[in-house]
Amino acid sequence: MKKVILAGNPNVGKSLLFSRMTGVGIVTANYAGTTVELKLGHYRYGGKEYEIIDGPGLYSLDEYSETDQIAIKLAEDGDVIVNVVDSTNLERSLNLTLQLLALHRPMVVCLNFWDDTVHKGIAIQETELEELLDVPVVPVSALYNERITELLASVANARISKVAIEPHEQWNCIKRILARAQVLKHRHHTPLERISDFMLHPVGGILTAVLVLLSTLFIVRYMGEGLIRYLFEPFYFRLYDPFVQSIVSKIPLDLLRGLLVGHSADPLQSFGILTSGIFIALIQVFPYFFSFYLVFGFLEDFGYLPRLAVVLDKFFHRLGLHGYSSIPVMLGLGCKVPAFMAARALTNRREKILTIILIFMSVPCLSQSVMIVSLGMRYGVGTVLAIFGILIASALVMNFCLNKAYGKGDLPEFFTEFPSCRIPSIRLMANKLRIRIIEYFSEVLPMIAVGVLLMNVLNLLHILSFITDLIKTPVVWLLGLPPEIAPVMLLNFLRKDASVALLVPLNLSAPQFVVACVFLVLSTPCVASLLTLTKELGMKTALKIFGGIFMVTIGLTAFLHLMFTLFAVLH
Amino acid sequence: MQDMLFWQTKVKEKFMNFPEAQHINITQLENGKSATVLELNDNSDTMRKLLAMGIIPGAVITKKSAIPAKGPIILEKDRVQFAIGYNMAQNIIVEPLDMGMGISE
Repeated sequence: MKKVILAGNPNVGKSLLFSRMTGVGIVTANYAGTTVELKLGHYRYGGKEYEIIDGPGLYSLDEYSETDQIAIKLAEDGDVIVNVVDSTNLERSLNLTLQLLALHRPMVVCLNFWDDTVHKGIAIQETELEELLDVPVVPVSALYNERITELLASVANARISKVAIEPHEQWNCIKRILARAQVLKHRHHTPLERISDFMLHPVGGILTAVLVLLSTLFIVRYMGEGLIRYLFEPFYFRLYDPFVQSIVSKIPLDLLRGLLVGHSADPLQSFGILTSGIFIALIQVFPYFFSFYLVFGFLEDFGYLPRLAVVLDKFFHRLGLHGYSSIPVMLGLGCKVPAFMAARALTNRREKILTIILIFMSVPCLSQSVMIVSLGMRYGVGTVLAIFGILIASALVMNFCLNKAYGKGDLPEFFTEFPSCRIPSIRLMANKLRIRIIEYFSEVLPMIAVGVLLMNVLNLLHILSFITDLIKTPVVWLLGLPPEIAPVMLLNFLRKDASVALLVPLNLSAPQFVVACVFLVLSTPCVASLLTLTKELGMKTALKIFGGIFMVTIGLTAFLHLMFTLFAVLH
Repeated sequence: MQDMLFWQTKVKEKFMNFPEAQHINITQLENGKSATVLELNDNSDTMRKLLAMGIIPGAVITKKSAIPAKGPIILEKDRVQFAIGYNMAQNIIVEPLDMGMGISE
């Protein structure tokens, strides 16, 4: 079986092309560095089976970061290299193309974004280019799924180029190639380019950032709320709940019934797998998850994120980071797992660790945020704002101190390329949303089932009461919380949204709710994000980070409790 | 005509304290102006990335915008836009093309 490698500059559409060639759905976006790990796929063409590998993008074959090294190793190992080129950016792309030719591997050049060349006033003579490079050249449009079959066919005709270029001749050679194979026509700025210019303007950039942030919050909130009120809650209370209750009531085993639907009619308090489990994951959290990723997917595909990174660069500098860290941090508003993975694109270790701590501490993941807001509103807006304010402030202070402790000096320079702004394709956005939804449910449902089951088993074995006894004194004295919170802290490790919901039966006061939420958000990561971080940084560093954050959490929550008590005494 | 030339020279002297052939770094270049790259005084990973993108001596780049307070500088070369940090921009020495006011050198 032949190994086909997709190699090319960042953001030339390798992942989408991979998806088109293999039929495997993967998350794609319009900015450099979306792909951080290798994706393997297979396809058959002309009776032969091919293995195809998609890797991170490369600027040149001189290695820089971890991800670059992966991509270079890959290109050297493949049987056939498919060099994906942005045909609207031929000059920049050809540098890598010439370096790849020098590897003396069978190769094909694939001119992606062919659909974009016409209105950008670019005309490329592909036959001329084919002659000059001495390898097959195939124009395609991955976005519109055009000419993918021609690309598959050309892989069989891939050949080793006889062109030999001295490294110092590289740029002159590119100039010669361009002079013969490409004609640029003068054209006017497109409206999208005007928008892009505005987003990069010193004042326009800040205005856009504020506008985007506010409208994101607005859309996510009202869309999520609307979906819950008019679709999900009626579905749950009118159809689902009566149906489940009537079926479960036929089960003769009291224990099993309790496990499945719990003992309370309030779906937030019963804690059955089929009632609370479904209610929290599907009815309370999912509508917001859907709305958030809809808006976020749009921003990603539009190409806005790197433009926002530039505007935020100054702010991130104070934390010892630069603007590109803002992309993983924004991903972390949804879920920490993809955010930690995106941090891999950062070049240096110190930067990676600081970013990861910021991601983890600044804002809870979407599921937990939703539960904190919906339950916190029972105490009033002030309580909710206090929780988020405390979290952000502590994250900033933590990062500021760590940055000072690390010392300055080894922060690499800021560099980001801007993809062209594009009107997102509805089909691609829908596809991406579908992949994220499937990932959400395949993680959420088993975790809730396991979590509820585990709680009940621990309860039966009297382990819960043992743990509760053990941590009773410190919890009451340090944090001012009731000892019954112990099992909630355990569940927090499995599902962070469900753990917040479990606070309801405890009837906490507003200050207690604030302390409990801050504790639940910061003290432990969920299993999924712990595993991801271990994979990214190694067990030792991951444990150090979470151990450190756990200590800080205890200090912080004890301090909050002290403050609240003092405040109460003074009044 | 003479008047005009005199005026322009005055403006040039007042606002840009440079002699005729001007070697400045990118942070000093006006927004919206183009320049030829002369030197890249840095050997960092990021600088090598720029080299790979064709930002080499002789290349013509345009400064699109700059984020205030020593923020990133936004550049364009052959329709590709990218941003670099302020410190790195200081290490890229350029010679401006078309010195404003229509005086060609």
